[in-house]
Amino acid sequence: MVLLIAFALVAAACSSDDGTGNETTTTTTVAPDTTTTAPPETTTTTEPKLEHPYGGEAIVADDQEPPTLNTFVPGGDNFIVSLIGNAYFVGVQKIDGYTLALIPDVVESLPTVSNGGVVVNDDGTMTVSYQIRDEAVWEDGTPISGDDFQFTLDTILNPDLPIDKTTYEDVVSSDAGAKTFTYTLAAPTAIYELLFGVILPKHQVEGSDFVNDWNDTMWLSGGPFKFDTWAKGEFVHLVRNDNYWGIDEETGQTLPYLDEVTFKFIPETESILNAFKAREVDAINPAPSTEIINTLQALEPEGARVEVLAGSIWEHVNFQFGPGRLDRNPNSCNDNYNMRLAVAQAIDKTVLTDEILAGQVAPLSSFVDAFSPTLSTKAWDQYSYDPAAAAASYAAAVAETGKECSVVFSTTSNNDGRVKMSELFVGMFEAAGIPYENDLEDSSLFFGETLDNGTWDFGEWAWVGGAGLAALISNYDLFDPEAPPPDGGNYYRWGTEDSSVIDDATARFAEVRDEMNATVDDQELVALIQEGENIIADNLVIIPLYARLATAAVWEDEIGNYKHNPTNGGHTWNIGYWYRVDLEG
Amino acid sequence: MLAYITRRLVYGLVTLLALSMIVFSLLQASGGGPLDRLKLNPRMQDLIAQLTKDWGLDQPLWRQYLTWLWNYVTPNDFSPLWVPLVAIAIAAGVTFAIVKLVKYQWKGAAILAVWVLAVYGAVTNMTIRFNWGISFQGFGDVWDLVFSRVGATFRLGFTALAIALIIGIPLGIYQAIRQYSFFDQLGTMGAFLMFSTPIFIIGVGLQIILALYLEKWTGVKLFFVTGMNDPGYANLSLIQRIIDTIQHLALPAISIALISLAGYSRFQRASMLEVLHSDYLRTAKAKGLPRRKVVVKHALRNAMIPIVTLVSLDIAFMIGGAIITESIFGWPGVGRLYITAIAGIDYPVVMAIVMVIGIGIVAMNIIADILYGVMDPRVRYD
Amino acid sequence: MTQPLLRVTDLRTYFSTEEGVVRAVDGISFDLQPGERRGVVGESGSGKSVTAMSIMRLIEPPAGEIVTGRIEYKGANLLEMAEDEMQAVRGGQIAMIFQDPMTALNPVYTIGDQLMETITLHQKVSKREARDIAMQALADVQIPNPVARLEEYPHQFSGGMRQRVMIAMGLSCNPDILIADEPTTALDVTTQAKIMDLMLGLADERNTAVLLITHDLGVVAGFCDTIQVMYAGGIVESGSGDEIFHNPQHPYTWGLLGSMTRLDQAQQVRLHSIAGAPPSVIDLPVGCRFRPRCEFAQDICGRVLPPLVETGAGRSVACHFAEELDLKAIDVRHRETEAEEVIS
Repeated sequence: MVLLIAFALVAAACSSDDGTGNETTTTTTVAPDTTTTAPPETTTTTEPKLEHPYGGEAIVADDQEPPTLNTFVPGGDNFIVSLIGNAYFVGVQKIDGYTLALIPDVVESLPTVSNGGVVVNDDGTMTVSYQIRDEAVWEDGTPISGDDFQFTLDTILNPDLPIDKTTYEDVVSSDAGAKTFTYTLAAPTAIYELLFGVILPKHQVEGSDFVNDWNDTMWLSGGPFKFDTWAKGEFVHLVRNDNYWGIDEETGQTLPYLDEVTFKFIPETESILNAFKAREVDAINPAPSTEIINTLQALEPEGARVEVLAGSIWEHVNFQFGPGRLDRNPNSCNDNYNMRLAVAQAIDKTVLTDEILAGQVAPLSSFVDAFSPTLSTKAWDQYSYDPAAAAASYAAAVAETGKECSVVFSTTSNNDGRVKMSELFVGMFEAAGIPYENDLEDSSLFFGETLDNGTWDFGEWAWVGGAGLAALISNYDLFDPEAPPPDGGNYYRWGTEDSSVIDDATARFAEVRDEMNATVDDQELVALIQEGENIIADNLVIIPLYARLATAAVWEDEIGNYKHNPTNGGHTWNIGYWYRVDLEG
Repeated sequence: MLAYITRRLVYGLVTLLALSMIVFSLLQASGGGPLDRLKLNPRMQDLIAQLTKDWGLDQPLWRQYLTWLWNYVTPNDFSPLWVPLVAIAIAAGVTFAIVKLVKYQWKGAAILAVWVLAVYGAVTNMTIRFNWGISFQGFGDVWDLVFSRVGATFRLGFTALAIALIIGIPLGIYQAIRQYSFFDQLGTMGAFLMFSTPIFIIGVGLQIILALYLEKWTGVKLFFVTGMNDPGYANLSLIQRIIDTIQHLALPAISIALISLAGYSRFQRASMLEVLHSDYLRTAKAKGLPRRKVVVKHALRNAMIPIVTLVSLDIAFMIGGAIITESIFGWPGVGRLYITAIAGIDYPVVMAIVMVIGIGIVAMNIIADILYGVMDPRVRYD
Repeated sequence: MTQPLLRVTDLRTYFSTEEGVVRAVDGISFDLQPGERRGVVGESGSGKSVTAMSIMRLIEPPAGEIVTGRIEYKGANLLEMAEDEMQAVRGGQIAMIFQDPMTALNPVYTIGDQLMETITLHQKVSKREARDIAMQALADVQIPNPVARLEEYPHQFSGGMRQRVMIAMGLSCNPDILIADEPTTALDVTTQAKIMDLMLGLADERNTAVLLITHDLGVVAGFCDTIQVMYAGGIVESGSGDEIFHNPQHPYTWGLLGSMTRLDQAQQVRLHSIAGAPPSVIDLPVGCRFRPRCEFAQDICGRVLPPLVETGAGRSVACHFAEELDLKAIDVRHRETEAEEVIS
């Protein structure tokens, strides 16, 4: 499920009209390893160890409507499909909203090297084994079996179907048992974590026209709710799956608590807020803005709960190391560490988050921070805001390079937050005595020509992250000296052939990245991830600033157990646990 | 008359053809493609290639256009022989019924009603379908998609139209008769307020005032902010269903009606004033006709003539759905589909909706002209 | 003298506009005898049409208002009549024909509809009878093929034909009074006389009194028994047609006569025009309203408004020097040289 969702989030971010359109590209981030995980959230669930009532309905509003309910076909990659799918899809893994870690769904445990679920074979192949939960059944009572996994794999690999076959096509063999499924990949890859996110019920789907039969209706549910109706343009209505096999570990009760769930589609954010105020909907997750957050927080005395979290889109400033930077700024000294240090010391991230995000989140200490805080070495904390030190660093850079070093800042001019940032930078660089200039561009130009040709000096944009180690690893592709644009993602041209910086650090980083992609051992991976993080931070390739906000609100006096999940799990990740507070007592 | 209608139909077809070409070109020129969404993921190359081929996006533009055009006018599951026959029957029926309606009033209305039912029955039972393509966004067959939304759009549109007509026309008449009275000034001010307020503000304002505050003051939930029916609609009793429908329909219908109403009342007022100051109205008064009869028989009939065009065009645009209002109120109509399709660069859906609106406008224009001629004996068709 | 059919006493009709109060009709009195043809002459804005509209009570408040006065029809004051009684009078006993036949008929109803509407309104007849009356009325006004033309719409008629329809409509209920407001102005000259003859002939047959309103002294000259000349809301002179024509006693009448095209004068002569423009009826001058344009004006004319004084049998003039001036002796076309001599 997660893999699909990761792309879905990108799609969602790109199809939304809030200016995030072109400003994000797929990257992913690691969820903490289960052994090292501690819940990072200070907000813990308020529920006491009480029996939760059964019955009632929850209504979730969203501004997008799915084009199709079939998550495998084009259009099904929309984020809303995942939000609804949380209620009835069943798969290997899901993302815990409390820990942001991958947790098992239909399998007993997530396979890893340490628990023996993943084995790297002598011939260089990798075998992954799933143990399906005994109690897991489809809504009609049919057990969920290895055959269903096999059928799902066959469907994905069917050359006649327009389905993304990436990684699945590397499966060299597979074996299905009644409650087991094993497959072998041609080479070790951490991507295995994200495979088989949604499993198809073979006994129902087999023989159907997969592309055309599952747009308006849903196959058998393996989750807490089952499909009832989809009133196009209005809502998708789901009802309780009485055969759901999940139980609430805390209360011991069978899930779900609710009888009905409705997803209402309301295109206008303003209307979503009004519907929420009128209590026509119970839970929403609007695109965050200061205004919306203030509006929602004003409802808290009436019983609403607003969660403002750091989301998975992280903003960062960055340096161009390729020759194109001189087109933009002949006095660019990005190749000089002291110059980059001066910039890092001149920027006050706290002011940025205060001014741009109304102080709702703390600045990032590392890009790993955004989704896997426990894994992060907080590598950028070594640089703190200090105008005097910045001035000294700048003087050193000028002395070393013999140039009148300066900074020309480029980013998208059609994003209010970034324009604000460019205005704040003027004062910060002035305070450090660094010559500074703003040169913003429309996003279509900046993310097109400018980024492709590397004709910028000092830039700023965001990447979208995702949960899971495999997702985090792909972050490191962005700094791979062997992957210059247009084919690769190293837009910074750090260590690339034409780069002005090619040194031990870039060489070591290339090695680290190669090792990362060759191992599936989670212990090893974590070590490599942290080493890579430190290299990028120590060399100041980029400076992470902050994660964009992710907001959700719920009427807490109506819905219990609600917890926003700022990753691509979505705020409905635990919808089976929701219950009606007003039915208590 | 028949020659006139034929000529108008030919002009209409040429217009529609030109419209389709322009919209098609604009869609191509607007940049971005339906598959851009997938291009963000580097692992989608195969899929993109496959879809490009399936959807014919690799063909030259003129060929894409001609393919689209041919498909658009080619019926499926239906003998093509029937199409012109049905079209002629509809056109002739409309003409005949309108003439009868105006000439014989109630008898005409009865004939019109029977004819509409007959055509509805015929059309729904013939299962005529056109090959309007497959949605690029994954919405499936475009013909089914568009027609699944028409019902909601008509429900909203006709309710709004009815409200606007029932209130707007008498309002305009009353304002004209009591020109410069306090009521007239109030109406004028109200109309200009409606004109100058963006529909978005009206819609959201109604939500806040009539749904949020009214509920707070009265403690009773009178109107719903969004949606067309309760999800549990199927389980409601008949009375509850009617109430539920009204509660959902009220706000979007009122917000569309308010703007049309402002237009109708201004237009009706102006045209009524013109008639009230006309010589023939003075003649009617000098005959000794009672005031009421002067207004109802002599003024109204004349003052209604220009309104016919306005209302006809409104009906045509209504087919396309109230784009903004439907979005604000989460109404599952064509207008909202249109927005989604544009955002998703979904050519087949955009083209289908634009052409449906275009056909509606051409048809309503012709109907308006016929109606105009029937109401005003001075108009001639040649 | 018989009791007048219509007696208008001290009628004042004012209009309020943004510039001020327009005293369109300001204290006029006259009688209309049964069967009389009375011409009302004046320039536009003199109040002649407003007089007619006042009699029909078609002045619409709040813009216009009959401030004072009495309009007695057969002894009953129309101004105090209830609206439904007045409706019976309008079109039934007092009918009116308007200036522009092109716009005076409702374009969306047939001629027959509009004729029969008037007939059924004032006479207790069946639809079929009303149709016969309507057809006869069209025949009376010499419209050929009346049966077919009843079914036609106004736009299918020429201007002259439409005015015939208006006359037919006006006379269809055999009214006592027919008010004709510039009935032929909009028509071409050859039709004018025909229509006028037709209208007055039919009026005579029915013994209908006619109040003919026109700006054209020439029209009234040939057709009217009595003439009243109006200027700036008041009557300045009235008398029999012959008297007014041959012995004008008011300088304005004298001026109007001079500006008239006279078919009996063979040689081409320069037409006289009255110098200046009629006064605004908002800011009326003190004293005689014609004074600013009057070439015989004296001091008193600027101070005292001359009352309408009877100067002979059925003859009244509102001029301080009505007795002294011998206007008929002055050839208006040589006034520049002779005017002073006459005064002295």
